[in-house]
Amino acid sequence: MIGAILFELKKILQNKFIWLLIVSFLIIDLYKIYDIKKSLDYPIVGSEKIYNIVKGNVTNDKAEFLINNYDRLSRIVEEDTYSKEGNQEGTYTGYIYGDYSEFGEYYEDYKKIYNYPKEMNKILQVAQDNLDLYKSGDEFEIRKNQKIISDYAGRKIDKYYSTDNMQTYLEYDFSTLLMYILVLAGVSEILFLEKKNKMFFLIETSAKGMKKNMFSKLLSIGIYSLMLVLIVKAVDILWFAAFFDIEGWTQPLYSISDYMYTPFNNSIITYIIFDTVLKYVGVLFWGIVTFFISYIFMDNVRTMAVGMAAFCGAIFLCLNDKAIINPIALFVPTELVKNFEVINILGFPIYYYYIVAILPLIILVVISIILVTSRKSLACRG
Amino acid sequence: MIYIFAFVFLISGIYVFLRQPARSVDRSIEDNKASYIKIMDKLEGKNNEEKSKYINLLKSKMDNAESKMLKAADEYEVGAMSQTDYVNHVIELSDTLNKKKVIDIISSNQEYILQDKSQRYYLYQNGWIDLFQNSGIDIILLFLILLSITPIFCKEYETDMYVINRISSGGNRYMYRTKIFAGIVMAITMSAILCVENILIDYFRFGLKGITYPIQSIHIFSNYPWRMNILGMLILYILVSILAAIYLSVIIMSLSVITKKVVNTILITISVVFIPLFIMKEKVIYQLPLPTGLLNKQGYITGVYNTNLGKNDFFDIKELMTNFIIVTIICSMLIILGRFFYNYSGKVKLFMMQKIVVFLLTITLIFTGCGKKENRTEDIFNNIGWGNVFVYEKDVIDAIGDNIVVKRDKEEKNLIRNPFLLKEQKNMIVNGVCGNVAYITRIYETGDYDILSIDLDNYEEKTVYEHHVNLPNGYNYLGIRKEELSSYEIQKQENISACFATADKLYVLIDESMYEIDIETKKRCPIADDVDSNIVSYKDGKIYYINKGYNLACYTINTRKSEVIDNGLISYIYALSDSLLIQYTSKDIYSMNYETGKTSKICDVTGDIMNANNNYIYCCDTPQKLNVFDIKSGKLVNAIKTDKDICEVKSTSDGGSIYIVTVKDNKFFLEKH
Repeated sequence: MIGAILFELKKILQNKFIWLLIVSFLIIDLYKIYDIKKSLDYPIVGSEKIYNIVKGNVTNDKAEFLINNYDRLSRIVEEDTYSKEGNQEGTYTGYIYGDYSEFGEYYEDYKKIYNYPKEMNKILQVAQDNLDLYKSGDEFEIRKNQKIISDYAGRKIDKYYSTDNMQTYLEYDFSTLLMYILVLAGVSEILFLEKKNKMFFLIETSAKGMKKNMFSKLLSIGIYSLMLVLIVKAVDILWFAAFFDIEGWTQPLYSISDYMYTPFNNSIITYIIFDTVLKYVGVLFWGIVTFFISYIFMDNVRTMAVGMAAFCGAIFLCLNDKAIINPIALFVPTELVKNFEVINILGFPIYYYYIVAILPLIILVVISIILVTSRKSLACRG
Repeated sequence: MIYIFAFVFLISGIYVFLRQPARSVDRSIEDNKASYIKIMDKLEGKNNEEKSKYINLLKSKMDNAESKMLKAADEYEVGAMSQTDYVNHVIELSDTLNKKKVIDIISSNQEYILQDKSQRYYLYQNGWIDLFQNSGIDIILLFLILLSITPIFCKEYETDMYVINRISSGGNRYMYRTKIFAGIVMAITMSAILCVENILIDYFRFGLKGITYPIQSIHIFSNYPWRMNILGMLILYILVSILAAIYLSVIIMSLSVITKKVVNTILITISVVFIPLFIMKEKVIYQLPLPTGLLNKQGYITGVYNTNLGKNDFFDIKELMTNFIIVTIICSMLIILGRFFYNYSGKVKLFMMQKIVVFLLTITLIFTGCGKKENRTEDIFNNIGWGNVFVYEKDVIDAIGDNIVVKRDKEEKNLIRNPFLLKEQKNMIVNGVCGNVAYITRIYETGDYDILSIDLDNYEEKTVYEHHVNLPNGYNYLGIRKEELSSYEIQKQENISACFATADKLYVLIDESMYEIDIETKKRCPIADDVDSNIVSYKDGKIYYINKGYNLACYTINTRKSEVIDNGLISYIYALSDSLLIQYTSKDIYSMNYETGKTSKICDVTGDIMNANNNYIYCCDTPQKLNVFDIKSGKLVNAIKTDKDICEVKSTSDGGSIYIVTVKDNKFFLEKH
């Protein structure tokens, strides 16, 4: 069985065109990331000195350092009696105003960290009030508010790191589009090669028949998709690490200000793994669907036509909010975890991102069962 | 064959029918269409006295009805009118009042037309707007062509039919060109079908009247710089669609012959069409001969939005023709390349690799040529704001197109020479000339800019300052995110105008703030945030500017202090060698001694000062007449008349040469007097 899977995988990977595409796309990906880097502002010289002092564990000393300096500089700037000369002694950036502006930014960040538990307490208080309100009523609402309390209780941010670059990395999704094209290139030809070489006659008359062959094909698509996702993700991390200073991998995801209300309670590195899994499910879904379409039509042109139409249709539905659950959403997982969104399933609140991930998996299992158990002769159709 | 085209007609018809109207379509007109059309039937065409009278009559009727209505409401409120009378009153006036929205639209149309009566006619524009501005790549055309053209060659390779074709004499000799011809005809037909459907749907949905009217009658073409009627634009629209179809079909067929596989051909074509959308700036997509630009033809028709100027940049006929010719050359080369591959059935070996390398080199040379071409000469002045022409003794420095040109002794020299930077940049502005150094701001498509100093003696170029726009995190490649990057970018744009330099510092006016930039460390620090206009002068370590209260203020570099030195309302200042020239809003012109601060009247004029030097003051009292006053005597010494509107005057420091930037028909000219 393993031999059959490896053989199917080899058939995909032996296609030089796929490697050509992978290499070209990785170069385009590199250019795109470089372009993003180029479009960002240079940090102010001297700002890193302040950052190096305040980053890491949030302590009273660091907070006092920020507050004292910020208050002192605010007073000076307000009085407008300061020297505007550059390279001044006792400043970090060389300018009083420059220091004021930089301290102001870090001060605001620290303030957000300090206020974060208070902000969460407000949410918890509302959830608690809701529980009292729905005491003997809507079961779903009770469970939903209990979920909020359990997931948002006890949240605090202990460490401070600048998360701008990290957010840029997390929200970078251009490479996902490239993954889709690559999976289409690999999958759409699998059946057609055997049709062309009239191999179905042989396979169907062999002892193990079409079932195992189809099963190994499906598994090879799974491995190929995983390989693609891992390569592209690894290259993304590599390029980002080369161009950006990314810190705070072990910080909780909610430490990024745009994600402060995320229901995801784990660290950023855990989220990146989760993100990779969701993207893998997305890529695998489109891979298997394309394979299924090629199984139905047994024709390259029609496979591409229907496959691309389905993909464009899914994007269209996503843009117009016409479908609640759309596999395209798996390509942009950050949008799924940003806010608290649950779906009522038999009175139980289930996170939206679980549903978006699980439903395509169910469809994949159904398609796989149809493909493996099908008794239709491909030889005759071929 | 007839079934295929019927299918194409049906599918594309459904697509066109279901698509949303363009964003620029005026929905308020559609909501009141019947009344609007009724009035527009009387107005359509060139503006004249009768039409103006008719609109004024409608407006006065509306005003009357509104005041009657208010009066009735007041009377009803105080009990001076019964409820029945009030209701009758409302019913009586409702017919007129219901037309308020339409009359508002008509009067705004009138305002638009009165700005340029000769080129703007009354017209119900929505149909044309929807036709010309339905944005986005023509997805349906792309897919129809892709799916119908790819099998032309690929099917034969995949079913091994090409072997049979090759052994027959006709198959080997004629088959390739027959297939290419068939593919192109098929693509043209599909494109034509789609064009006809678009026109028909817009005709029935909105109506397409006034085909012979000037194109400027449609408000999305308000800045269109050339004289053309709507029919001309329609022909251009159809031509671009057809050229897009031909180009795409040739690319697909040559890729089919090279890759010999359906999947590879389709995926490469999709990548070639879509990836430029993600990695290139909008303008570059149209400047390069890419299928993406032709399929997304809107840019060639309605122009590319220039965030700096807040209006569209249009492509002139020369640019369009150059691009179309390059596309035709590439098509021919692809057909020839395809012919090589068609005769060659084996794998790509060394022999073929050599051919590919030669072909790629040729293509690269063509593209390099494209990048270096000067896109615009005179016409680029349409897209440049004031303050771009500077005169430095015997030199004139212009921002022309993507470059800065120094004109010296009838010779023209490009100052910026790096061709790779030229491709990305959007605009160049000459900020100022200090001594023999010109300061130039180079603005990029991203909104980033850098300030360059160029030594005018030896043309040595240095980057003095670089600014990068902070883009928000998150990029909307799949169009799923809700962030609007463009509006964010617009907010982030900085407007750079005047610029002065000392030995180690640069003083730049950005938006309404003056910044000091350290040339060595590149750090910038705000020094004044109350600068009203870009009329700023520098003299002996002092920067004179007009503040937000229209008073004269002075920033002293040494003391780093700003102070108001004249409380009068001032409209213009200019630093002369021994005194500061001031024009008050009352038009009186004074000179202020730098040391004593005392002012003495030079003269009073009727127009605004356009420029000055140590000997003369240049004023315009009418748009086409420039008066020259002697600075010592305050007397009028010369008057220059032109047939165009004067928008900028520059002179050498002694007044020996005067350069006037004039404008006519939205075109700018530089005249020397």
